[in-house]
Amino acid sequence: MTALLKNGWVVVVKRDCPTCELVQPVLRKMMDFGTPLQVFSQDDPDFSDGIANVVDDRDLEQSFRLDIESVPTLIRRENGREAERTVGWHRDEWRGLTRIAELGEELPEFQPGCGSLSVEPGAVERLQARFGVVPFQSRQVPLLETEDPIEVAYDRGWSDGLPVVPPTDERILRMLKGTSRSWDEVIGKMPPNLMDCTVEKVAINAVMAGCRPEYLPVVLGALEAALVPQFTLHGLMATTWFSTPVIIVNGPIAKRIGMNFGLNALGQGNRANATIGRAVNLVLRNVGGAVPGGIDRSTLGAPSKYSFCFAEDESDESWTSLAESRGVSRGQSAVTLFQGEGVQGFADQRSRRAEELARSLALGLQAVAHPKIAQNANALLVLSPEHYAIFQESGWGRAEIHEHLMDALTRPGHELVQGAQGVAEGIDPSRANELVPKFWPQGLLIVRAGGPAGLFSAICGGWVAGRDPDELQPITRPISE
Amino acid sequence: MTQTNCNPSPVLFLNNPNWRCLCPPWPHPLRDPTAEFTPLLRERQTSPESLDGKTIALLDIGKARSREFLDRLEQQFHGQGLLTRRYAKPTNTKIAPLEVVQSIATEADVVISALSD
Repeated sequence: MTALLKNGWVVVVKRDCPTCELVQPVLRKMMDFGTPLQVFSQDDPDFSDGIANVVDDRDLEQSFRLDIESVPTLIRRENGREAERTVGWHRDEWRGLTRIAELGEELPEFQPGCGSLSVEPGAVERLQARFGVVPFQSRQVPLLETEDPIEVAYDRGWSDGLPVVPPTDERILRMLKGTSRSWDEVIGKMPPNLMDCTVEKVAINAVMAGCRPEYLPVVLGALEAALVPQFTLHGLMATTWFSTPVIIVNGPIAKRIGMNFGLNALGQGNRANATIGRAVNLVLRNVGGAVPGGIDRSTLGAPSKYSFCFAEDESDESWTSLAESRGVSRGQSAVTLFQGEGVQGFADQRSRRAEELARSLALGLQAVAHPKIAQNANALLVLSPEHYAIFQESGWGRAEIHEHLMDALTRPGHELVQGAQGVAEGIDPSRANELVPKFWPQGLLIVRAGGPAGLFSAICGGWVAGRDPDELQPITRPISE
Repeated sequence: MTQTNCNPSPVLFLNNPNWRCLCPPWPHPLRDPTAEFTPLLRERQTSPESLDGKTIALLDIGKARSREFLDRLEQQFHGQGLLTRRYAKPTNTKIAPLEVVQSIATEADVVISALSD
C-alpha cells in the first residue's frame, strides 16, 4: 500500500465518474502549483496522462481507510492528519481548500460526485474484513489452500448434515448489519452446555444456516424465547421424544422479510422459513452442544429438527393472531416457540358446519402422542383457509374455536384409563370417573396458515412431558430489531 | 493482480481490464461457531487399550515390500489369537480409493498402514 502524503492534497477518483473526468484539468493545475498531490484511482491506474502521482487503488485499501463515500473527494493533509475535505466538484470549496484563487474557472460552479466503489453493496464488509479491525472474539479456524471450507465445517462437526455457508468475517459482518444489537451482547447461557451465547455466535450460525441479515432479529428473538426457563430447552434438547423448537412468526417483520404463510407454509422453498429455523437449531447444536447421539437422545428424531419455522396468516383482520392472543399488541412483531414434533395431516372434506368441524378436528387431535394419553402433551393446530372459512361463516373466532375444541376433546376417564379398550397405555385408573380434557387449555395453540385450496389442516403434536401445565409452556416474545 | 478464488467469480468481470478482486487473501479463515470446548487442532482418535476381540486391518500401501512386512505382522497377530483382514492400495503414489477406505471403516476396528521399502 502506498503511504499517504504527510502534507499536501489527496484526491480519490474513479475513471467511471464524469465529475472525476471533469476535474482532470483542475488536478493538473494543482500539480503545477507545487503543493504535493496524490491521486488515488479506484478503477484505472492510468487515470490521467498529465498527472504524475496517480496511485493504483483498485483494491480500495486507501479508499476504505480514508472512509471515502463519493468521488472525487479532495482532502488536505497536514502533519500526517486530515485537516479538511470536500466531495464532488464545488468550485468555491476546492478553491478554499487549495487556496488557488482561479481554480476551475472554466468549469461549472458545481457538479455532484459519484458513489465510491468502496461503499458499493457488499464491498464495505469485504474491505473491513480485509483491511479493517474485526472485533470478533470467536477463534479463527485457518484453512489450507486446498481445503474446501464446506468440507471443513463438516469435518469439525458444525453441520446439521446439510452443507453450511462458510462463516467468514465478511459474511458475519454483513449478518450483523441485520441487528442494532452489539456483537458482544450475551443473550443467555445456552443449554445443555450452558455456555454464554453472544450475538456474534448467533450471527456465525445464522451465516452458516443461509440467513439474510434481515432475518437475524427473528433468530435472536426465537433464541431468547427458547431461553425462558418455562420453555425447558435443556430437556427438549435431551429428550428421547421427536420434538424441536417450532417457530411461529407474527407481525410486520414476517411480511417484510418475505416469510411464507400461504401455499406450502410448513414445507420447503422459502428462504426465511427454512433458514431461520435452521439457524436456531445450529445454535443449539454448536453453542449449546445438543448433538444427536450426545446430549440429543431422540429415539427417532424428525425432519422438523432441521428447521420448522413459518409465519401466521394475518390477512384477515377479524382474526386474533397467535401473538395477540398471547398478549402482544397488534402491529408488534413477535415470535412464539412451541415444543413440537412433525406434521400430522388432517382431512375433513365433509363438514360444513362449525360444530361438525370442531368435533372432527378433535378426533384428529386425540391422536397426539396417543389417543388415550391426556394432559401430557400440548398441540399446535394449523388451520387452513378453507377450514377457517367454515368457522368464520358461523361467526366463530379464535375464542369460540378453542372453546368448542376443548369441549369436544373432553372424554370420560373410563375410556382412557390404562387397560380400557384392550390397550394397556392410558391415563391413571384413579381418573376413571372424571371427565378428562385432552389438553391443558393453554396447551392448545391455534394458528392460521396455508394455501387457498384444500379442506385440510395440520396438527403438530407437542412434547410428551407436560404433566404439569406450569412446567412446560410455549413462549411468546416480541422481536426487537 | 487478479486472484481466481474470489466471490463473485472473476468471470463476471473479464470484460473489465481494470477489475481487481477485493477478497481477503485466500483462503478466508472461518470463525468457530461453537462454544469452543475442543482444541483448535483436532485431536487424533485415541488408540484402543486392548486389541482383544478387535479386527485389525492391515493396509498394504503399494510399496515394493509392504506385503512381506504385513505377512510378518499378520503372523504375529495370529500367534496372539487376534483377527486380521488384508487391504491394499493399488499404488503408493495416491490416496486410498474410497471403496478401500469404506471397507476398512465398516469391517475393521483398527488399521495398520504399512510403510516398508
